[in-house]
Amino acid sequence: MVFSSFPFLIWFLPFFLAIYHTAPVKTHNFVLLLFSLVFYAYGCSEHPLYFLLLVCSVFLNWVLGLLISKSKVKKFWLLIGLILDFGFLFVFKYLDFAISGVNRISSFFASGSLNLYHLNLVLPIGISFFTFQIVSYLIDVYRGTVPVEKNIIDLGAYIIAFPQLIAGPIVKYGEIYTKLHDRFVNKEYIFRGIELFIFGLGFKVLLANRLAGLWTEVSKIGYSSLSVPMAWMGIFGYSLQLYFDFYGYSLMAIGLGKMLGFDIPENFRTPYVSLTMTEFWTRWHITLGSWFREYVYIPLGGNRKGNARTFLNLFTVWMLTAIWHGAGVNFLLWGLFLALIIIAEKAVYGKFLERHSVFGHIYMIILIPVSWLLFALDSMGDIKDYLCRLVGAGGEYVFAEDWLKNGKLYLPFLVIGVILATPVGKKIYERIKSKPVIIPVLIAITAGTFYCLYKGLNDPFMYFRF
Amino acid sequence: MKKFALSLISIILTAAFFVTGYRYIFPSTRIMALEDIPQRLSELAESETDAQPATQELSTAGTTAVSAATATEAETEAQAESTTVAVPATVAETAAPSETQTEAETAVKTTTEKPTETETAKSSTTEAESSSTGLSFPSLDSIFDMSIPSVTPGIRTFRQAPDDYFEDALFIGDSRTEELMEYGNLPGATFFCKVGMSLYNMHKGTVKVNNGIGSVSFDSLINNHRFRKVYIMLGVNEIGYARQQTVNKYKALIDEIKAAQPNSVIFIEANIHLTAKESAKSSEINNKEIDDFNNKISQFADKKTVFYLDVNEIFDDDSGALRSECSGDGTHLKAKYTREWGEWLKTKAIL
Repeated sequence: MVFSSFPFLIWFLPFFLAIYHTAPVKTHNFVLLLFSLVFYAYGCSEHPLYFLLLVCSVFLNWVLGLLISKSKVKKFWLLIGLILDFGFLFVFKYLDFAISGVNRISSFFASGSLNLYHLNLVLPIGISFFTFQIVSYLIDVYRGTVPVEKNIIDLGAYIIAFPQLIAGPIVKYGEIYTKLHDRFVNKEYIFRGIELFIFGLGFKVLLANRLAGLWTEVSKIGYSSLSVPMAWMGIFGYSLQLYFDFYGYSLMAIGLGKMLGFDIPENFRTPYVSLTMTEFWTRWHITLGSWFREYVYIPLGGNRKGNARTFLNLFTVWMLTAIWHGAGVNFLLWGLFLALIIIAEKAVYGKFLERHSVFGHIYMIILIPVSWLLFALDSMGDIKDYLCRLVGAGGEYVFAEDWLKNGKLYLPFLVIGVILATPVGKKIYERIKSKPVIIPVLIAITAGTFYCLYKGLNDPFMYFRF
Repeated sequence: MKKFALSLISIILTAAFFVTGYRYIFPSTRIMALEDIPQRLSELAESETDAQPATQELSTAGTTAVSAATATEAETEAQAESTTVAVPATVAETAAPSETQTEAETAVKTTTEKPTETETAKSSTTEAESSSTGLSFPSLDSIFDMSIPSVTPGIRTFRQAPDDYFEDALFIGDSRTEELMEYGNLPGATFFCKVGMSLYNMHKGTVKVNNGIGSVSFDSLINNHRFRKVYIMLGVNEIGYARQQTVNKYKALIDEIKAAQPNSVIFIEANIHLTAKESAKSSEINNKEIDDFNNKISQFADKKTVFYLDVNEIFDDDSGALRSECSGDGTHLKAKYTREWGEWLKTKAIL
């Protein structure tokens, strides 16, 4: 089930909120767990096996948590847990890619390619997100920073909670366990939650989904047939689309959490005003970066073991981050690209950019959309074609006015997108949030959203590949 | 914040400068080299000959007289096809010879006015002529004098289009036709097309038409302008509606065009297939339904004033779906392939 769809907005959510808030406080986690299971089952109705997988995963990890906290061989159980959880993730997400890699590499050897079969498994929704949440729980129990969760219902509620199960911020167990057991809501919470949810919905349906048409248009024409302005407009549009899509979804998750009394951490902090790539990744998908920092970068030594080791650690973290986003050669390339840029910034020019913000902004405004190209296109040929068109090289059958036609359609959304991507949006919000005008604004956004959803226009949630 | 705004403004100004001047800075956008076109066309023509074997041969050779030639050809044609939907020349010749003579003569004049183009075209596309009408001409140079028309009302074969062929052509269609307008390289053609257009909504409201015509309704367009060729590609947007009703509407459209443009040639274009992947996604909009609709509308072609063109023959893969490299989204052709479509249409002219 997608948050921005009628089944969720009209049936699931009101029903859930009604039951949740009328049920006794002790049963809140159970109600949350139950509805989250329904939510997930609805989403994977065509692959009922994945539902079972999720339930088994919760059960196994609950057992492992207990074993880790009570046993003498903690490390052993932790390793089993990691192998199990990452193993599932690997099989469903990366195995086919690995098989392709093995086939290709083996074909270089004289004895001939192995030609292993691909499993062609469909990715269970949300697997990248909940795997990381589970692993964070196991590691935190191992480290002793949190008490083990003895109640399987509470653990289940934490792992499967529908606000962040599919694509929401990755919430570490340590950040949430107090609220898991003891939380309350009042009118403030509920109102703020609804507010955040509506803003998120607006970002997604009114902005991201509209801008999606631009990128569809770009792929439709063929990357080698774009005019130069169209190529640039395409990647700017894509950058804004990706941002509002994910940011909108995260806001909806945070809003839902607030309605239940949780404080889900924020995931985006106007990333597009960053001055360096390093800064960008502290403002984009914050919870992922923070997960990698806490469980990979710092255990590896962070930046405390000298320059060479720091660079190696950075390289590892960024390759892993890129791979998390998807299995494909273009993601490896993307990881390499990010790693090199970040290392270069740390070693050479990062400080300069931070001090001279004009250069920093120009640098980022060009670098970010181009880096999303590696993220968006999975064929090397397509990437090469697009990069060529960005600088005006190698075009064929270009319709010179394509950017005019598309510009007219998408300019308002691009402009609004740029404005809202800067702190201006937040400033406006701060000014109106305590005034009565907020109510009609929220109503207008909701009405606009419902209208667009009713028109049935397409809805690709890009991070759903995870 | 100010610095961010400043840098954003400087980028926008640079971009604006580039946008207005880029064509002068980067003139190297390549269009298909003119030299490549004959080769591509002969490739297309060859694949066509393989598909359509000749079924008839013309036995009589023409004489030098214009009318005699038209009569002979008309008679042979009448014998071969035995249709009474005749050849105006044959019928009228017995009734009002002078009238038809002039008509035939003017027809002849227009075709002989462009001997050089048809001649050069013939030399590269003689194979292309043994196409949908099923008639095969042995080398025309030996049989026909240049002053004798190679085509008469009644027998029409596809020819290579001369350069100004599309100047009185009208294209009616949906988003695919809109792509053809942008990338098909058909100079001078008029396009009445819009994303989402269907037989059910094309008569409602206005559509912005090119060639300086502006926003007009369909009725006003076909009644106030003259077109000698009308191309139609519609059907995909209404594929989910009742099939027979849609087919009837298609026939009504053809009749409407015939009434408003009596001497024009109408081309029914088969709807382009979806890629196999896209077709598999829906039980309503898929290649099976598209093929069914295409078959039904192909019945309206009489090969005299209404012709059926199927561009899928250059884009399909073995399973009868659009080849996946031809489309970015599974439904629309990429610019490069739209250009191939346009070039293919140039080999399917009726003169």
